[in-house]
Amino acid sequence: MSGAVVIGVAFAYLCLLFAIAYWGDKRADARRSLIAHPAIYALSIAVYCTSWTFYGSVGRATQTGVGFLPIYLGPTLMAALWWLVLRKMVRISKTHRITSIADFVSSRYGKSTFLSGLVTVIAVIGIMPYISLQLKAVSASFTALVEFAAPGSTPGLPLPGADTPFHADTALYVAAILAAFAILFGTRHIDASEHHEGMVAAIAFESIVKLLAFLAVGLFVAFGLFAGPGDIFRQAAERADLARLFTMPDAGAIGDFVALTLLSMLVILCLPRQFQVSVVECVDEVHIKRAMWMFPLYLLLINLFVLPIAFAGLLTFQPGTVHPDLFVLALPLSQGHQFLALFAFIGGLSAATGMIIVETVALATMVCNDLVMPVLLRIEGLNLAQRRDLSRLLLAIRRWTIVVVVLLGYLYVRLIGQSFALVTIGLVSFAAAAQFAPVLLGGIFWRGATRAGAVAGLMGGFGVWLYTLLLPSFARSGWLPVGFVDHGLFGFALLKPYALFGLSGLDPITHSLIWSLIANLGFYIAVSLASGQGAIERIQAALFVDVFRPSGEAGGGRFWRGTAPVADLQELVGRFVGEEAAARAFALYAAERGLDLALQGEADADLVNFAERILAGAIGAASARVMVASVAKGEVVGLQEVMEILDEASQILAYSQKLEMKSKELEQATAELTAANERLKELDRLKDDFVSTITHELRTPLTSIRSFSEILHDNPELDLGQRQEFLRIVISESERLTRLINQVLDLAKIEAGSLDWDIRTLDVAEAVRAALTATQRLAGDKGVTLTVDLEAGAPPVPADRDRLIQVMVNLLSNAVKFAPPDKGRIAVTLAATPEGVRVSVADNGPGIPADHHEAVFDKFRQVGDTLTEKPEGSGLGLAISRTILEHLGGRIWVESRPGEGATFNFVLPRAV
Amino acid sequence: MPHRRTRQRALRLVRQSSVTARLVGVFLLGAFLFLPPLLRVFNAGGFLAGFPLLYVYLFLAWAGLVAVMALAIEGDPPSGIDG
Amino acid sequence: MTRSVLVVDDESNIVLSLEFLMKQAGFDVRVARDGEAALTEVAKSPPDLILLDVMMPKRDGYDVCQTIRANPDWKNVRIIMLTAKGRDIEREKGLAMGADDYITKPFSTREVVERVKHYLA
Repeated sequence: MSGAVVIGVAFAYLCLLFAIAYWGDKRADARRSLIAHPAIYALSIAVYCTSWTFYGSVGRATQTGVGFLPIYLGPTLMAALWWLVLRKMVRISKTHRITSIADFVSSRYGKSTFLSGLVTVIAVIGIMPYISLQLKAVSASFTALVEFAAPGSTPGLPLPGADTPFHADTALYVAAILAAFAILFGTRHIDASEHHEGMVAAIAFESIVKLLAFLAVGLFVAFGLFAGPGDIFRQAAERADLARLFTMPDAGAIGDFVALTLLSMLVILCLPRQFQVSVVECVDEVHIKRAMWMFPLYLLLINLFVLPIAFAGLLTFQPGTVHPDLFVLALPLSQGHQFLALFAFIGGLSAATGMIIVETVALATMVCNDLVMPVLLRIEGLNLAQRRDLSRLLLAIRRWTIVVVVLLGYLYVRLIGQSFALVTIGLVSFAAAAQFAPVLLGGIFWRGATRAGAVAGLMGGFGVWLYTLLLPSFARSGWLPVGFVDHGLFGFALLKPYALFGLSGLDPITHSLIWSLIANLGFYIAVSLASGQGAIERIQAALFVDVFRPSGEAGGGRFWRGTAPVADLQELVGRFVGEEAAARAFALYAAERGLDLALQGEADADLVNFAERILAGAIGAASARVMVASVAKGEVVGLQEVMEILDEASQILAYSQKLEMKSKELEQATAELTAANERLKELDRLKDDFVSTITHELRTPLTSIRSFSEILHDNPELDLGQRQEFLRIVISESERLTRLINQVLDLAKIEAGSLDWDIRTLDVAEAVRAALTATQRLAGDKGVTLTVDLEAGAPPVPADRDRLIQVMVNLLSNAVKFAPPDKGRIAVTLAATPEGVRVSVADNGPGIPADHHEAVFDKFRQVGDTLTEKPEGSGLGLAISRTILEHLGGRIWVESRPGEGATFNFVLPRAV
Repeated sequence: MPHRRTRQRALRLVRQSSVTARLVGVFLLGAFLFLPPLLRVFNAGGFLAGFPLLYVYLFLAWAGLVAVMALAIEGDPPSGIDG
Repeated sequence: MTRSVLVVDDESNIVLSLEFLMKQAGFDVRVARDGEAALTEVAKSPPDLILLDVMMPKRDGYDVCQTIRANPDWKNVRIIMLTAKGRDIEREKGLAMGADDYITKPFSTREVVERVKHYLA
């Protein structure tokens, strides 16, 4: 087939693509989007399948059997999590108008320009091999098609080498053409956040073409060349060198399988072009649902014939005559099917161009927005910020970036490409892209991740990748001394790039992946934990991680339809974040948009939203909304917000309820304290009264004693009879005083517990008789009759004899005191009861009203009010009696009705 | 009626979280299918219907997983796909 | 004419000693053993001075004092309170009730006589 035909067809195809893209853009402008369909979205994600898939998978299969599959199984697995992960990234990107993966990362970590630059550099360097892979594939397939397409002839192994002069190197022309197309496709518009709808449409179309082309070749090989796939495997099984590919040879191969699965899981999210099509170009996040199974299905279909083609190639060609990477072309060519081969070439071209266009557009955006512009804006001499129209400059930067990136790819393929198979080159890029995974995934799920952690993680991971993958590949191609690969850096064996720290026996990719991810994750997590977040960082972290929280959902200013005075807004924000910080933030906002807020007066929805976001970082999203609502006019608070505010309010309510409970407890404690204080005061008053009463009781006899002593002293002329009478009074009152003092002391002793008790089991009747003997004369003097009835055989009880007699004497003298003179009768009885021994002393005195039955036992309480004569006695007798009986385990009480006398009873319990 | 709308929203939330749970389940199933030890079991060699056992297993498991994934997502009533 | 003194106390020995002292000083003496009896005596014929104990059965000294002061016919009756409770508030209370003076038990016989003489001079 002549080169002109191939070139003509290829150009025609590229022009068709451009027409589709143009049409797509026109439709987008007319708001009748061509790509607003989930299937288109899924097909555009299939840009994942590049010439690596189209040509390289077969080559890989000829070496490792199923070793090519993890690259597709990983994304299949990850697709199951897209609803969790990819949807979140899409939502965040829409909310924050993210334009690239570098933008995403830097925005998450506090809008750091250093970080976005770092991501960009890593992406450009990391993706360079991947682009070179496409160039190599296209030029090799072109060469194969043109030079070795004679019917019957066998294509050789003519990959362009360093010895080929530049002007004769197909890859150079391929690079130039593809760069031109990438520029045409990707850099016609300037606002990167707008969708490249035409480009996406073209990519989707290409995905269909490459799938159909590969399936066509597969069907031809399986059923045209052989009698079905079963036939191929049967023939292969007969050859030992091929049959070994039917299984994975050892644990190492399985380990590589697992590692590559993990790797491709990560890169389906992290490759700049995948981020471009699946996140930036996503027009509706619902499309993700369909893509979640359509994309894996696409992967399955395009890989269906890889193994049959690989084995067919191995069975058809002599080893070493045809590079396995070109079996897809060589098999139809060898059978003279030139048009099928041409179709296959177009399929491969689709795969390569799709990748290069999207990748370079993504990289160009990053380089322009995140690397070049920040630098240019800082060079004051350029005065760039003052320029009104920067769009032409931006376009120029992006176009040149595409040229440079593709050129770098070309250089890589020219310098290193021939030493490696397609897949190996691609995997080097994969390992680089995987370095974005921790900062990307950590950024949307881990609020605590910091900018410093992200920088450290990226640098660590990228450094290890450079040392263990990229530099050795330069060395092995002769562009660096190979010594450090074989013996380690400076001769340290531990630093061997393919066996770092002694970890050997692994595929270089797996090896690098392990070490780079360990370094990346390790630095990322450790530094994040060790460092703090700035204010903007914290706000961004919250906005990213909580993007699905309803107020985050509202996201852009569109939720606010109203306006608010700028000054009010700034003052409000200042109240929470500090006046200075607020002024700075507003100035920054104005500068970014080229506004003069001082002239504006009323803030637009964007600014209101901006203020709310700052506030949200300080006081929580819901409260921020309420605060902003207080100064903003316009329709705002929806049901969701109300729910949220209620939620926060209910927390506050819970706190206040706790507070209320505490204050109630406090009140209660106070009340208890007050009560205790009252009791103490009462006790104090009682003691005071007691002392006052004692004083009275002591002063009364003392008064008589002193008076008569003075009378006797001052009147020596008094007659003997009168003298005798007065002296008798003095003596009697002295006795009364003594008795009183003794009783007070007794009571005090008993109450203080310091009285000596002599408790033994005794006969109560005997003690009663002793007491009667002591009081007989008293009763006789007053003419009171005593009747005694002591039951014989009452059981002995434990008691103190002297105290018991004291009680009896008290009761008897009381009875005598109240019994009417001469007609008085006192009955003393003793009886055994189930309880113990009961003693009663009954008199026929005036009796005691029922409401005094308890009070008579109080100290100094005399119930003699009804009497004209004041009864003798201290008023302590009954109190002492009760105290004694209680100490002995018994009790005392009175039974009486006014006018019918009183009966005092006490009971002493039996010995236990 | 705001009450009905709230209920619908609640239902949707429940349904959405169950979809998410199902999808995580699919992911775990896939991880189980494609990683050792199951992988090792089918790496023993041998043929099934004339095809190498490992190849047959991997492609059938893959196809099965895609089917399960499609069911998990599309098996949902249409109202579940509104986000 | 002879001045009259009413001695009111529930302690018979104290009454006895005061009766002796007042008679010796040349006064006409009557006695009462409680507050009610005291008022009966006053009603019979108001004395010139009452030596009035505070702590008594039936009606206490404050009560008696207040009753007497409430009656304008008896406004010339001098009242000296006697109490065994030596606290200042009781002294205050007695004076507030309209007592002319206040003597704490145990008292000096000479002082009592002098005070009575003072008020009856």
